[in-house]
Amino acid sequence: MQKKEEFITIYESHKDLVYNVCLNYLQNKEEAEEVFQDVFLKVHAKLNDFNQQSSYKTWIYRICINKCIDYLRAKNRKKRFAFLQSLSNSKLEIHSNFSHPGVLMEDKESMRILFGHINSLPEKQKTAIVLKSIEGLSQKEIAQILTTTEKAVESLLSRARKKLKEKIESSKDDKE
Amino acid sequence: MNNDTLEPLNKIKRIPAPGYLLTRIEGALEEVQLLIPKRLIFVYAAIFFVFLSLQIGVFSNSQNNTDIESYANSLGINSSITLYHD
Repeated sequence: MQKKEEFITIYESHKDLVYNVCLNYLQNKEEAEEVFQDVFLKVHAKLNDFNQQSSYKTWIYRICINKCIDYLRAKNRKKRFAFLQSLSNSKLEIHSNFSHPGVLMEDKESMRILFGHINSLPEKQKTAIVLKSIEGLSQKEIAQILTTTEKAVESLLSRARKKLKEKIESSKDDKE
Repeated sequence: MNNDTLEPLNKIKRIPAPGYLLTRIEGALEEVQLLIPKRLIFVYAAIFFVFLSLQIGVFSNSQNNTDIESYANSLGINSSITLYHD
């Protein structure tokens, strides 16, 4: 009973955070809801093991990011089994099912393309960009979530921005 | 420039988590809790099976004993392991 009350308290104070991270990471409402559920089931299962070394917020962010990554890996594995993966894997991965409720209708197309570029980044770089540029976390907070140093986060962000710039410029060149 | 590239991301609105998600989670948690008795049933079944196979072993041993008893009787030897009769 006490565990249930504790869980509900944690749920109420972190539900919006988890929902928005899932949306920003997956850019699809249905997928975000599925992962959201998995995140809180994990939180419930591991609540007794939580060692208070980090804050609940950091712990939940970590679970959330890991669940999103697991979900995308499983989805990519299924895709690979289904057909031949597109030959230009390193190129733009545009979302065929982009449905982010936080994106305005008029920005939808440009955001879909931008997220396509973000999704083509390596996992850690993408995570750093999502946490920094959308969630607005500090480098220190990101370092705690990714269990790394602030220097490493700074380097991740710098490489991610450089790659994004290159990708956006090359897609502009392709259009011209 | 780098900030310009990512600037559109600032326009993304925060969305409150829909209320029905808690109901779904509670449902999933109940399902998980229902799975535990199923696991217990499996454990009990396994213990019963082991017990049953031990019983079969004991029974077959006792049958072997009756063979030995009849052989001992044919030789006129007492097969009983008790030394004294009450």
